[in-house]
Amino acid sequence: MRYILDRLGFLLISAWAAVTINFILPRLMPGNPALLMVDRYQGELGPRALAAIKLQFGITSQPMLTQYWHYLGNLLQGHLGISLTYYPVSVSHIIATSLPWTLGLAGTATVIAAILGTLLGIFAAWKRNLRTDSILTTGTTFTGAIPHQYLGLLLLLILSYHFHWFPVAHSYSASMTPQWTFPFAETVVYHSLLPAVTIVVPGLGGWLLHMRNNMIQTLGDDYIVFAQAKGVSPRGVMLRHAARNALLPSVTNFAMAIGFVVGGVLLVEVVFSYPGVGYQLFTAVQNEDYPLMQGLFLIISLSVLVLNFLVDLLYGLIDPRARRTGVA
Amino acid sequence: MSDDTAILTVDHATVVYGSEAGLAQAVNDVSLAVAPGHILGVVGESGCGKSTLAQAIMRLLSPNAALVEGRIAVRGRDMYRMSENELRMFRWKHVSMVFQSALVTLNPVIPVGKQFQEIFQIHEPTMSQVQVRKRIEELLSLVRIHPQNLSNYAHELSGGMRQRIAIAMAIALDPVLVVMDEPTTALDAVVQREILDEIRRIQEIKRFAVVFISHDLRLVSYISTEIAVMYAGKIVEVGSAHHFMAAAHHHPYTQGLLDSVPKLSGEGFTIRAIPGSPPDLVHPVRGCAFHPRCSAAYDACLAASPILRSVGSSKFACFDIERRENEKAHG
Amino acid sequence: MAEMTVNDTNKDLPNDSPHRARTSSLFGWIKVMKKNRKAQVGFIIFVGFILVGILAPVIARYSPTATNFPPLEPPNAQHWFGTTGLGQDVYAQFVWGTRSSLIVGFGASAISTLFAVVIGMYPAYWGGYLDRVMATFTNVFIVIPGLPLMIVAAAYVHDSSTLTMMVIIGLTGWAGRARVLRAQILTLRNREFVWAARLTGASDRRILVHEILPNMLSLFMASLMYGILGAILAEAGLEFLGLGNLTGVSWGSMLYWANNGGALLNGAWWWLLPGGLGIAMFGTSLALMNFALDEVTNPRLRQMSTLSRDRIVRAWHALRGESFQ
Repeated sequence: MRYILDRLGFLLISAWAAVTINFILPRLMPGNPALLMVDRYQGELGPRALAAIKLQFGITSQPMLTQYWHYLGNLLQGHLGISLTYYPVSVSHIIATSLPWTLGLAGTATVIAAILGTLLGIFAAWKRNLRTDSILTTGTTFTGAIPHQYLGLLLLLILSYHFHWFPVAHSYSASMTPQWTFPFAETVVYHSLLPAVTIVVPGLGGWLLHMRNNMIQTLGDDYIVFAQAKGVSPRGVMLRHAARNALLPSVTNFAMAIGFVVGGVLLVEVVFSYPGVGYQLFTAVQNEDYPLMQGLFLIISLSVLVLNFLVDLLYGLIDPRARRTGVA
Repeated sequence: MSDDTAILTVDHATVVYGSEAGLAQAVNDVSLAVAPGHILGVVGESGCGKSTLAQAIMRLLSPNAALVEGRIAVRGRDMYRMSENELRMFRWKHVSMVFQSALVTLNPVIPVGKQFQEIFQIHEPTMSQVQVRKRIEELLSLVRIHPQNLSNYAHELSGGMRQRIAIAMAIALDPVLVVMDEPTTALDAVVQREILDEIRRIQEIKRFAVVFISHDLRLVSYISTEIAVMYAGKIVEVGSAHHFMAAAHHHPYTQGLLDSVPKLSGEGFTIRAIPGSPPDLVHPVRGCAFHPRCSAAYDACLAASPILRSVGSSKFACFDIERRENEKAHG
Repeated sequence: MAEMTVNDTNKDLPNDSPHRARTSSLFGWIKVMKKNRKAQVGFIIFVGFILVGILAPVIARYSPTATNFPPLEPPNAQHWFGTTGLGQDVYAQFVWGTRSSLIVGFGASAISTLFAVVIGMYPAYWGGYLDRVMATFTNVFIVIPGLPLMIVAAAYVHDSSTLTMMVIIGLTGWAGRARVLRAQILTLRNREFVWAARLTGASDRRILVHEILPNMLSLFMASLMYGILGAILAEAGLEFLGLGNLTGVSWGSMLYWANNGGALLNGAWWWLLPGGLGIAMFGTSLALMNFALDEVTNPRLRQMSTLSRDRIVRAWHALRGESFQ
């Protein structure tokens, strides 16, 4: 219980940090960049929207603290402002339509990468010192250094533009409307295959290497020797005794891995014009749509934070020691 | 204690560690035998090779170590001529081990009971769940542990409880030999004594043979029937425990160990540490390995390495003792 | 990976002497690297890229921004890597791109490593309240996703000079490594040789500089290298989103222009290929060198790769054979 509270406390602190970064950044910049934006959209926006944006980005004579309270209050009510690109659509609405795509794509791809990479890591540790291990580690080291956008473009060039096997963009066929039917699900999966591969492949290496090194570290531990002494089979030693312990640091590694994944997903969405939050962030940046950008950054950060929180809870579940003492 | 009846025979065993610095001979041409129901205590400073000897007996050497010469047999069967699978089924059934700290030998993420059950799942696959459970409870009552602790994880138990459970696991299949590598070192003094008495009591019931490894000569003499003293990978003195403490003379290293035990004399404590530093196993000195730290060393000790010879009721590897014995015999 | 504790399985060999701890740092790395084939390959590729970067003006043949060549030519004798849609020489772009990508990588990594050291290491040595605050601060920055933060910062800054890029990437990418350094300090702080120095009355500064830093050198190197890789990937990401210096030439901007200039539609694979391959190859070289580093900080990995049982037996018999003949 203490462990859960501890993690919950950290979730709140980090969420507050993300929210505050969002508030401070535009105000920190020399010559408030939002001024330029307001100038640009002067004619297109109604006076009320303009006033709201000025307030949102600190173009006001109110003291900083009042602005901050105002900002927090708005957030708590779910007011993220209005998008300039899609005026007068609200930022929350854009997030609501784009977030599911990202969560679906990134979630599936990350789970696949984590499971596949971890299994390969166990396998590499099993075959340590042999050619298989060497090929696996070196190979995934290379794929791990490939930038996501590069891999995506290469796949597009070869499989979509040259062979026409896969669609070049979007998350579903333009001739269909989103609905809960099998044909629609089919087109969604078909459209998400290349983006998913593009996320999975560079991600494998980290999981593999981490798990492999942990396994080798764990295989030297005394309880492994004890298990061997008892007569546990090599397979049992690997899977029942070593893998579970070696998995623990991998779970904590998730916090760092997820950052890498999120960055990758953003770029992959841009490459494949996949209508998730990453693509919207790209649109916002191109159009200098600061309210949209802010809202997206916030929602991306919060999603990652909540995900981390859930993984921490999972960690508490599989490591009996963490439940009582808590982990750093 | 002839070799035919011995439960454990170690014949000229040499174990080498590979490291970047070179090869280290942690066990150097060691021979010994343990008869059924006997307790052989092996004493020495840390780094003398006694733990390596224990691992070698179990064929559990770390991957960077190898038995490069000699033979180790339990019940007449050469441990190093078995296939991996034969070894898996033989070990623990006939020879088992109690490690220094059960905190690190018990898997931290698996409940203790599950790890206990595993022994029977592997070696007695025909036993039913209920039978296994009953057997485990019997074993636990032998070491005075309540069965409810089985659902606990290692870190939730006290050091003494963990070690009791480790002992129960070691005798689970009624082995003829249990190797105990510093089984009480990680415990505080009071618990240490309790566990030691526990081992003695159970050993008297079950009559298994024991190789008891420790750095503490007093502990070893308390529990053993034979005592072997190791220095720099070699046995330098071996004899029956009965004669050991009262013996007329000792190897200078054993004498040093005896002197370094705090003695309560009229004036208070007197402790004498053995001067000099532990031996370098990678670059061994010429001659007797102990000569740089030995006050009795003379030219013979620098030239060659002494081998174990019977003198009186014990065996010694020491030129000085041989010389004195010769002098006594001839003049 | 560098977080793993140094833990020898071998109970019978004395192994925790201060000398050993000290030599296992940078020199240990060089020593292991000499024996490790992967690390050697990595080192050669690494040096190769550095040379390309340094010698860019000599080996580029053309200006990377000159647009006076026929557009979209596949690789040929004049243009080894072909030309872009604007008629630029791809080979020249790759060579100059190497230089600017490496500069951003090294620069940003220097900044982030400095941050990682100041925030992760110093408070950890003294411990107490400041350390706890800094540790929480670090953990918060680890979980806030890096690229989105960089994107937002870059979008506000409105200045895409090389220096700005370095600062933005450097300021957002230090947290993970700060945690690793902190963990290392926490273990080193209580090692015997540090206590020994403390008992002889050495000042904190002396202990940090003479006892602890030498033991952290390999970790610094790892930190720098991961920083370089992270920075180059980040720069490529920002460039790709149009947030970089698009008038300059870097591996990242090559990808941006290939994507936005119609390389895909025209099937101009030669335009797309070099930029990303540069990043992937350079990143691989860093990671390969890190294999050797992992072995320094983790003896079990080292034992595994260099000391198999067969080799020990062979070595022993060879030794015996020598002394007997």
